[in-house]
Amino acid sequence: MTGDDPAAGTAQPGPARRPVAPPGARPPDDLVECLFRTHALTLVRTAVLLVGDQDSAEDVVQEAFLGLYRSLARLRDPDKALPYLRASVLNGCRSVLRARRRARRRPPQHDPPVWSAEAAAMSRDDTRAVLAATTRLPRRQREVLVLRYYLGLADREIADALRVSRGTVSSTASRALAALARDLREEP
Amino acid sequence: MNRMEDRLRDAFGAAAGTVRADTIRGLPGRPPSPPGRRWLVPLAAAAAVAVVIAAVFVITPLVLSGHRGAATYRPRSATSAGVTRSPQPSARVTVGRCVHVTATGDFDGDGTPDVVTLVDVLPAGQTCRQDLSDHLRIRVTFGSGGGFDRPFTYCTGGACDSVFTATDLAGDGRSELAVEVGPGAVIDFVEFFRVSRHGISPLRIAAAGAAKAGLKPGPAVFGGSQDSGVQSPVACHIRPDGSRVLVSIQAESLSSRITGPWRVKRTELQLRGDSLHVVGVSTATVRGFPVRSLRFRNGCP
Repeated sequence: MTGDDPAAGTAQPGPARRPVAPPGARPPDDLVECLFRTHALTLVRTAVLLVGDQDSAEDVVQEAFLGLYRSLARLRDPDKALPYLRASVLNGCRSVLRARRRARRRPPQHDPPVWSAEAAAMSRDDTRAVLAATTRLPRRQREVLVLRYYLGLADREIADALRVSRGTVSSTASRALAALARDLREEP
Repeated sequence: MNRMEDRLRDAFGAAAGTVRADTIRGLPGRPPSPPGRRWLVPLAAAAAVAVVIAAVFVITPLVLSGHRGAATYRPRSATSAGVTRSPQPSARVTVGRCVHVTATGDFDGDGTPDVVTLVDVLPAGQTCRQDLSDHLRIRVTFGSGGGFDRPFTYCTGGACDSVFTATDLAGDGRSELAVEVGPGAVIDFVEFFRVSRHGISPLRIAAAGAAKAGLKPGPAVFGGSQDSGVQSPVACHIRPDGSRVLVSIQAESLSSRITGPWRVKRTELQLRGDSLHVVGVSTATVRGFPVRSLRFRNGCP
């Protein structure tokens, strides 16, 4: 379905350096299909790290691609499409988390988040502590960590996606790592 | 800090790796409204509003008054204007069959989608209700033609419609049916069925290894208590190597606090034919186990 490696289950950061579209891809539909084939899996995985479950993550990514369809007429530079999708996914994840906060009193209908003990029991790994610690970070710090350590984006690209300055990205990442180290009682 | 960064990369990679390429949805269809003509939508809406206003304030008075030229509006009763009132909706609708829940999957494995419907058959004159009666039937329509309609006697306590879904436990492209069979909100079981052209029958738990896992050989019934001290979710899980396992969890709080610690007993089963075989049992103690109402997590669509 997509061009990503489906077995990339262990510490494979997202293919941030992949070309947006191969030479000769004709906008608009070719571009969207190519972007989907190349980046959908990575975007879903990124969203999973932010919202915690695959169903919500896929909803976010589908909405992002629908938004890209709607914006194609205004998109002059095809190279801007991927940053647009990343920003859409980030915004979509924020909306999901906001909606969950509002609906906190209702019983959850989504799958258990990847950082839950139930998920840990399912996947039999010990990464839950790290993932759970990231959920306790402020939203922006968490986004910076996911974009930097999962997608492998440069600070400049993170700054574009989050619409902040590079300095803010550096300082946010530094504070997030320090907070995680404190939380996990690790030597900084 | 480097170690922290490595741990982050490992954790993100492991969590992201649970999402597999073959389980995510395809590219959404292009939205019907062309991006360059979005201004047409509000324009069409405004035109529609204008037509309605014209119809109400200009055309209708002309028609009702019977004048050809004068536009004086004289309100008249609905009867005298020749308008027939629509009948009031009936408070009760008489039906005999109520469709409660439907699942779609490839149950016969022929590559065409099949539909399984849980139908509640009520005596004539009774209305469909939210809860289920004791007269349930299962209706199967195969995509390639044919099907059957039989009594379904596995539901207890008015359950059966909160989990009623197709799942592919073996990964062979042939769906199995997972049904929450009750009996209640606190103690609740999920049963797995094979749907074929010959009918519907429960999958079986094989005897080997079942005792060690605390399972009873026989019909594939999983679950149990779902309260603040015991949690018994069941899930289908795709391993990184692509194989699929049904994971049955019995989590018990070791303290009086809901935060635990919890002892989690995890049993893995693999479907071979129509039998589920225990392939692994492990026990771990974890801090914090979400007390939730999710009986079955269908990770094997």
